[in-house]
Amino acid sequence: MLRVSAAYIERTMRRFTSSLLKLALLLLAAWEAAWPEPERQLPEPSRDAILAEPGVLVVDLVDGADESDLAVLALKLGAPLAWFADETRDEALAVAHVPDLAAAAASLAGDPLVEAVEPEIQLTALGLPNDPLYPRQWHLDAMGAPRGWDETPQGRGVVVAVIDTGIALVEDLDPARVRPGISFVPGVSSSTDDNGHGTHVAGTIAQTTFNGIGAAGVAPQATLLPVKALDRWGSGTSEAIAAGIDWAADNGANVINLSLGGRYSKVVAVAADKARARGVVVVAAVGNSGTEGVSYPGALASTLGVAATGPDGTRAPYSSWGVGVDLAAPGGDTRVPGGGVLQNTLGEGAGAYRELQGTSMATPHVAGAAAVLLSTGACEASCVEAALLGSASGRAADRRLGAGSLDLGGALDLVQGRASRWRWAFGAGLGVVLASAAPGAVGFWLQAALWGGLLAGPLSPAGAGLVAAPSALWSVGASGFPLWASGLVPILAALTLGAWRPTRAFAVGVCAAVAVGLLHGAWDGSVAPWWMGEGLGGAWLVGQAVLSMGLGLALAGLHDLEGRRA
Amino acid sequence: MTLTGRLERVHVGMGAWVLTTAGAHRYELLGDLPSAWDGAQVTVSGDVVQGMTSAMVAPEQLRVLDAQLRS
Repeated sequence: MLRVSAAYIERTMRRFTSSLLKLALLLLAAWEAAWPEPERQLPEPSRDAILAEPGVLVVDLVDGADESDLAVLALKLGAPLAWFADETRDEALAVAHVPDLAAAAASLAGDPLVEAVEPEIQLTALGLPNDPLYPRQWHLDAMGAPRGWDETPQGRGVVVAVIDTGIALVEDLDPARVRPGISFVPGVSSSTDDNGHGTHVAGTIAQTTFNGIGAAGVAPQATLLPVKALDRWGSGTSEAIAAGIDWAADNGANVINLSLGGRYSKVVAVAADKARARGVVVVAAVGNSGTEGVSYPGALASTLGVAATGPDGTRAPYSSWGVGVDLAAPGGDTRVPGGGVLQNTLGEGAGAYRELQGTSMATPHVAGAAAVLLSTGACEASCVEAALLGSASGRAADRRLGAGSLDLGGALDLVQGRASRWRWAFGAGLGVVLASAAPGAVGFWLQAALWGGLLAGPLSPAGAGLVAAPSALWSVGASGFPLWASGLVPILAALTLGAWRPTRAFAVGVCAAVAVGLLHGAWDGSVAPWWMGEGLGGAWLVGQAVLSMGLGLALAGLHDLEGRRA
Repeated sequence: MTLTGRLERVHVGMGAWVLTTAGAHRYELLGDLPSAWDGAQVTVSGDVVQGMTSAMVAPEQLRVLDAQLRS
């Protein structure tokens, strides 16, 4: 017979519970590190001094202020003060044209009739670029680029390789975001552009945006990796393109843009397959023949083949179609005034902006969107592809557009929803597992301590204390311990972990696990509240289970509500 | 190889030249040609290549060595 000392049991149980707690803390820490909640901080208010110049002064009077109060302040101000709008008189907002804003604001500061006083501030629509040509870039709005600018790091930390005619450092490309590239064109050592095509494509992906110059790009914070594989006529060999794909994958590309195509090439296919297998999103044009038949590498399974749409959202007449078209993006239609894709490229000086059309122009919209999705950190290559295809719109209208037209906003919804669901499932699952394991662990420890105390007897102060404890408490073991035979743990979890958004899913998991445990205990009699009889105990357990489940549902509802408000 | 056909300027990407032969075979021409030749009958000589291009307007390309307008 195995003989185990009480001290050994106690030591073992302490280690077990300690390990369990450490595991829980480690899992929680890992959970937090893996999915940090974005900090929601208010921006620092502007501390710019009010200038001593003429302008409009806005005065917010105390609520309920009337004409006489307005007259008093106007006298103090030395200028006519009028209500801003009759429709908002209850807000008591007034304006005055004053010759010296600083002096006027100072004269009203601290007046008990005034809640706030400041010069008029001109506000603009949130998140829209100040690049002067942006209003002509219909193609960016059409594919949902503004959502990317507003809600994501805009491609920061993502490297997009442009395998093309090279990239020239034109005025609206930030040199700091263009890595040193390479040329695989025989006799050409530089990766700079001598055609204009690659620079235009690069602009669609990462034109410097919000800089007050030129045009905007889909993922302005992405890093560009120039790979010159096409010569000055825009032509390249299969080996140069294959080498470019391999080199890009080896040099940190997360996305590869191939605005090129031709006949099937085994070496190009192998290179594209390898890059995709390494987690690179490979995007390629489907061709401009205007007929059925998709060019390679756009037709490969390992690439996202991109067709083109015009300003009206329908298939552009030049865009090829057929097997291999995965989705469509704005490629432009220059038959329509202003209908091309407008970016900075080569021309007269560095400030040449040209409207071009083609599936070459559609492809970088998808590459930029992939960079935006990757920069959220919530998604890897296969998830990005699934989000781009799953959110594409308009398939029913024209099956020649593959899954439909690119919709970055919809793709973001899918990616963010997926991340949120995973985070929620993990947190709730962790809560269920730990809440299920805890009663057994604690009960085991208590029972072991009890036996240890009994064995140690009066020789051990701890043992004496345990023996002296109410026998009813221990006799029922963990299953009847009040902590577990009630909604106390869910209540504590809801009040502590449930109050904090990142740990709320964990609290919901605890509530669910305890509720299920209580119901199961009431059903088979395995849980018996030690202070109650069988009938009353069952009713108590069911009531506590309902309370626990209700708490869990309330927390889930609160989480959903907060998410919608955010 | 020498080809004769109708020359067409295709406005995709930075623009491309396409030669369509009497047999309706299309070649993308790689070379500098006068824009005034758009729509004209021409005779072009050069090397046929089967690479990939940014224009993607025809499966085969002809790297132009010489081109002449036909009257």
